[in-house]
Amino acid sequence: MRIGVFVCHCGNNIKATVDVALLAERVREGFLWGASSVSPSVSPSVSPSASPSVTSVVFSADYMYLCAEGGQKMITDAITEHGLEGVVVCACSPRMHEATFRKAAQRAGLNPYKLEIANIREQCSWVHADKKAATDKALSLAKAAIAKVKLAKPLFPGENTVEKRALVIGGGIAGIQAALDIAEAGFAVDLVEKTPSIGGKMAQLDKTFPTLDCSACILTPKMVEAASHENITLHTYSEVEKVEGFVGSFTAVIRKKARGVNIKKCTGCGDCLAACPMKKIPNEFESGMANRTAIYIPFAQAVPNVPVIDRNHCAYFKNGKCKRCEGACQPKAIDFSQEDELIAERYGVIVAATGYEPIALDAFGEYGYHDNKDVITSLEFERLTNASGPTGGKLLRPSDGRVPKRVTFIQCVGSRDATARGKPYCSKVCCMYTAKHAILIKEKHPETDVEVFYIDVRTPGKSFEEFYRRAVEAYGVRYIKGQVGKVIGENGSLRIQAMDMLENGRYDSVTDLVVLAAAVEPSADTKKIARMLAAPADVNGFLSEAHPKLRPVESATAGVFLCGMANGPKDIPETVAQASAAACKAIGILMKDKLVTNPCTAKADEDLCNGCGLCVGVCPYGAISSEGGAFPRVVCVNSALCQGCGGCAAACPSGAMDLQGFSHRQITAEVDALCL
Amino acid sequence: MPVNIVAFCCNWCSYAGADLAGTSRLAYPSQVKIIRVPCSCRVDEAFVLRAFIRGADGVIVCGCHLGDCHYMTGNHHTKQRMEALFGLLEFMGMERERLRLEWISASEGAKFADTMAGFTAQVEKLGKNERYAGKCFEAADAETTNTEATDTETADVEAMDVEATDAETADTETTNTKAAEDI
Repeated sequence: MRIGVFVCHCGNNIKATVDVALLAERVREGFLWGASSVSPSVSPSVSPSASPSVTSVVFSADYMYLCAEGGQKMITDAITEHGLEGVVVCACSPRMHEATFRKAAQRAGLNPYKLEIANIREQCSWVHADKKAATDKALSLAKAAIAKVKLAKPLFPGENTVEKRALVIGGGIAGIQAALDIAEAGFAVDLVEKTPSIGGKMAQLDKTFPTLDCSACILTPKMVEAASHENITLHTYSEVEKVEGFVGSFTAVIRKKARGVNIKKCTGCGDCLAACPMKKIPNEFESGMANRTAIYIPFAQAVPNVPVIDRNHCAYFKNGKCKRCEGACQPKAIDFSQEDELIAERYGVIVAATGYEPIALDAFGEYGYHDNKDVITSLEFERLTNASGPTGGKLLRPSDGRVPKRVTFIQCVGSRDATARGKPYCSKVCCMYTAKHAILIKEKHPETDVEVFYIDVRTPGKSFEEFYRRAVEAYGVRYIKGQVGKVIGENGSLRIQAMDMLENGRYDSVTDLVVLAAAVEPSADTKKIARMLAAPADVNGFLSEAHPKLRPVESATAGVFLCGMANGPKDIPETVAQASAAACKAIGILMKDKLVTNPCTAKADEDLCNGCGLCVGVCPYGAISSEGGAFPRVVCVNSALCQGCGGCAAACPSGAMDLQGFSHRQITAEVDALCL
Repeated sequence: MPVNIVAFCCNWCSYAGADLAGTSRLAYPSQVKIIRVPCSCRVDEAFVLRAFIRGADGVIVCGCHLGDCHYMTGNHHTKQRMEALFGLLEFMGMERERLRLEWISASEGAKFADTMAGFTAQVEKLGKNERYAGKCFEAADAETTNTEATDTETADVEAMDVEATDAETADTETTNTKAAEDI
């Protein structure tokens, strides 16, 4: 094998410490350590006409700046002229110029993976002062690179075709925004939402901070736009059941749950709702503060505006008798025989926007949430103050329908609580929505006293601090630094026992309504979705970004993008921005016809594999399976999923698994060369 | 004779940390020579043992900090593997101080230089690795001679990369091929 070695001076960066001319000369001194000797058998100046089975450095040279055009030309010329089959460049870090030199090699017709870099700048000339020691080390590194390159096999990046269709999981504001942006770019999008309507948590909100514009007024046009967009297919009341494949070519199975109503025939008139005898079912959209019927439309602005039969509560499905809705329905849209439908579709990219839930408050007995009707969560308060809510927007206590004279807000219920019952993180939105709630109360009932118990008030965001100051200064909301120890029901009122940290004293007083700012956590299905997508989640269950700063909307799994609360607590503007960013990244892939894959992936030798499966457990990407190979049980690697860490190669007890570009033999040869 | 040290560095953190030590001109002993691997979990125990029998006096495996692995869980596997290897070294009668596992991030150039200086000093204190260096060679070479016939047979298939002089690097593969043939 004919090898060429090129030594860069890098101006004086390398030349000052490493004797580049000597290095270029000494790499030519054969490199054939004998099998019977520990020391290298030096055969002086190997002749260029050495037999093809013997590896020899047939060309070596040093140059001022190899990365410059002249340097690259020197390499390409030498490859052609001397018929080089392998190239070693002794220069700066491969992290700097490996791609540059590999491209140059490719231009000269050499497989780019037959070029290796010896890092003699960052890891030699810049860290060693002694010229002899540095030159010796540089020679050692060059020899290791020669040893590696002579065992290098030509590698060819694979290609995947890209399915020009996106799957968006979650129909809240994050999912809607991502779907709209991708659809606007001209790609087909399937938007899957678990509940009967898109809209998510934002649809439940009354006003939004800090501008106090009405949530529904800004959300519903987007919901309608998503539903009517020619490139968007809505799958509401549907769940993603299975995801397989890899970037560019995912296959997802979506279960469309039986609605019991023909979505094409239904006019959304609501006659069926009036006919339904089951009227005492807690309404999820109203956070259980109102009731609904068994056949129901989740809320007035629902998209699609088509009812769904709740089979757990429907009299017909429970007792086999009723069907009153069917009688009431003039377009004959009710269909009791409807069954779940499974749709399998191929997608190029997936956006996970699975949203959040407030945490369950079972472990927070001291606030008496389950014991007192007048202790509510913030999301319930949103409905209570919403014009379309159960009280028509009137602030009335759930217990007796009276306007409260004093309302107490308790912050950080479960947030910033490192104990087992709570969450260690800040839920980020509570400080602001509580200031909003306080202002909304004060606007409707200026005489009502509003107090807020807080640990810290956190208002980083555009116009956030001003908004909070307004609540304090213009509306006279009382902020008390301290945590509430107990809320006790007492003669129709609530006694608050707390600590006022600034007054350094106990606080004991009576209030009419308590609102708990419950921590947020990833929605219940996030874990399931994360597992399906092989997308890592953090210790709190939020989907992790590939890099917290530089790749904030990508999952570590290629082709999976994240946005909204599924990725961590954030407010609406941040969610929308992140959704658009995720869409942009997704479009970047969808725009391509083919994706080039990294060829340095693992490869199993089917003849050696004994099917033990150790590698399967090591692989973080689920790239290894025993399916698709030539033999049953014997594993094979899906090179589109493999990211090339090499964990499987080290785990394989039979030497069947190897990592291309960093093979056993290559690394062993490097070790040998460095130990000589 | 100065001690010889092989450092396996993962591409994303420790190798970048070594580069940063370079860019920051933070000196460390020149006996430390780095082998780049994609992830610390690529480091097979066999590579470490190979280094020791080839005459390395110390081997250091460096990866991203736990939880920061570019490949999510790779360095956890490294940790497990190296912990087992420490035990094996002791069983072999080799000082466990000749092997070290370190987590060095891309921003820890100073830590890289300090670690390498510290590790070199530690290995220098132990002196040259006399117990195994070269010792296994005779055995390995004998094996190579025995399997040479098989090697020449397969030489046609892998004419490009298996060379007569290179037989011993191929010995693992040859043995495996032989084993496969036996079955």
